[in-house]
Amino acid sequence: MTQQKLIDIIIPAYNSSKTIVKTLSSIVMQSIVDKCKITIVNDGGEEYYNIIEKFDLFIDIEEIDSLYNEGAGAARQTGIYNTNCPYITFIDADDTYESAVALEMMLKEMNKYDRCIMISAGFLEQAYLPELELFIHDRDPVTVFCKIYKRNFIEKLDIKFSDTRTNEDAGFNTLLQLCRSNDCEEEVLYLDKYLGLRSFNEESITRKNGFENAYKDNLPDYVESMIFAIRGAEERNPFNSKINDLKIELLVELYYLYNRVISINDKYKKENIYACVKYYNEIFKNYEKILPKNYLDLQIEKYAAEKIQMLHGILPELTLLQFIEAIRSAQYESRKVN
Amino acid sequence: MSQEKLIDIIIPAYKAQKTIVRALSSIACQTIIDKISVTIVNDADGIGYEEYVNDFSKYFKIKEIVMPNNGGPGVARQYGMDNTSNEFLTFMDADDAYNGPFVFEILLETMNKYPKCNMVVPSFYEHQSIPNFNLSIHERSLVWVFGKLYRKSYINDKNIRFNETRANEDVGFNTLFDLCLPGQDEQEVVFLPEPMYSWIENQNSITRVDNFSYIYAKNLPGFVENEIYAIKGAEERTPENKNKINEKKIEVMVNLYYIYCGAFAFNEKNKKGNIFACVRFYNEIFKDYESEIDKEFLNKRMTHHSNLRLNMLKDLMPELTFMQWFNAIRRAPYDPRMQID
Repeated sequence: MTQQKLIDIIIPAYNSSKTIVKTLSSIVMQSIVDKCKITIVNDGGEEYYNIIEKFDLFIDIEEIDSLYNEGAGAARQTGIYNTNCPYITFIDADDTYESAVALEMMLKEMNKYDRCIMISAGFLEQAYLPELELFIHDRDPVTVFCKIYKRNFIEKLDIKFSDTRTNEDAGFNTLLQLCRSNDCEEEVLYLDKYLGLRSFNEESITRKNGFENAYKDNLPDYVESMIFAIRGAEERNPFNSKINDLKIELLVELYYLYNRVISINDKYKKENIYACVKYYNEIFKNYEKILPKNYLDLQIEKYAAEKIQMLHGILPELTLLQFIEAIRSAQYESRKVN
Repeated sequence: MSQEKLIDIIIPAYKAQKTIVRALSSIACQTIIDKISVTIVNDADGIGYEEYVNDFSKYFKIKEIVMPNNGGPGVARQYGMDNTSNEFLTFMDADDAYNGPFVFEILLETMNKYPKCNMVVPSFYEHQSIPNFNLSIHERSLVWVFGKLYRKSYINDKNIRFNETRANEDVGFNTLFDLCLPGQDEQEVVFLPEPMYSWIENQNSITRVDNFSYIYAKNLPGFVENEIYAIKGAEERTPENKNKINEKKIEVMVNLYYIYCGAFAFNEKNKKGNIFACVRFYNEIFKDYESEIDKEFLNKRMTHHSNLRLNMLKDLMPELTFMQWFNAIRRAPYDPRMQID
């Protein structure tokens, strides 16, 4: 057990003593468990002393307190600051690895390429609708589950989680992507295997389908996270053209996400509209001023075609162009969304 | 050659002397040629096909009948149907071809295998040579009438006929055929995945922009006329198929939005005529039905039909959403005496 550790496994946990046992068990079974250092970041709930005592026999594990007590993102951030292995991975306290070689496979692939800063494998998500269905997450841009990150890139560019309650992981991943150099010198690799199982959380909102369920009910947080990522990238990596591409793509994406959210639950319509207006004013407005109109139109059309299937099951109130126009002409006054 | 015939192939032809050899040759090579009878319906082109009839009659049974006046392919096919009497029936265009020698053997085999089958629908190729050679496959398509095998007794029994419009009469025929089926057996219409017919591009036809707009863009009014024809025809013939016919009304209403958007992007010129056609469908067919159904149910079915067509909006930036469009159609004034051209 004195062997040099390679991977930090960071587990944000809030009152998870019932479920964390299965998560830890799936770590114990990992083929490279000797190379793993497990850190539970306690986000201000019950303690895990008894559980750690049992697992301590098999794995190198410790518990630390979150610095902020304000959600999974901040807890993971605390985890990054208080660990030091060359690689970092995250798992939530009710998720499990599907395979005993999950971490080994990811790490092996990552080690082939010196320039690889992140590897992303797929995972499955359980849902009871009302019977068990498994949704496939492939190349998921939002979650941090089943991904391994290289520490020196994260630290060098100070990649952080946004301080929202949800979608903080989308902020983290997007910031990381936008901080890659213009010629993508740093590689992001994808593994076409499903290595994790995301469990169904009974308390979470009703899931209509597996489509975009990560942020469909929380558009305001998604918008905050994207503003965070775009601003962060503009500070760190100001000449990256991908930042501007993303600005247009997001404007289009907001239309589809807004319609999905509203079709499932229109209770928070006002907040959702405000989030879109906020995105326009904080990010898009200035960029639009320097953008040739016909280029913008072409890009909008391109992203609209890519995302058209997101309207499955929806008869929208407004067309994309009407929506953008409405957002553009809405009154805006900066304030925190929630 | 004295053997009893089973299948009529009806070929409407108008100035098709250059291409008809290809069509007839693809018939000549069929394995069950002795069960086939070919009828060229000359749509009064003033030239005739005697030469070809003489040549090919050495190999199979073929005749030419001449229409009294030029009437378009629908009227010609109807004339052919009225003047033939075999158990099964198929249509062919004079510039197309069957793919290979076993086509009719397979079609007939399929009919025999499923005694309740009234229509066999194989896939077909669509050939293009401008700007580049391209073959696309159409599967499970009920728009065109060529390359399908129909049971004549069902057509006679339900009196399925072509509408007398110049275009889209095939949509009217197939939709009427489909709506009148009892719908108690899945094998009433049998689809075959293999492409058995080649729809060969006519160099003189209008430029094809993509796989749907060229069909309807120029002729949304004709499409509407034929859907109205089929729905009203089915309501008269088979009132017991009420549910199926009503579902068709919703499907067409939604479909019209997508076709309208595509047609509009393709050519703004016909906007007025196209809008009027949609208003006409709403008033002639949909309005009464709408007043008697549950709003939530309608919404669900519209969403369903919309889901299937989302990709038709790719690369289009529609002016209106479906609901905005539908409400505009609903509110538009309608005078049935107005002419569609």
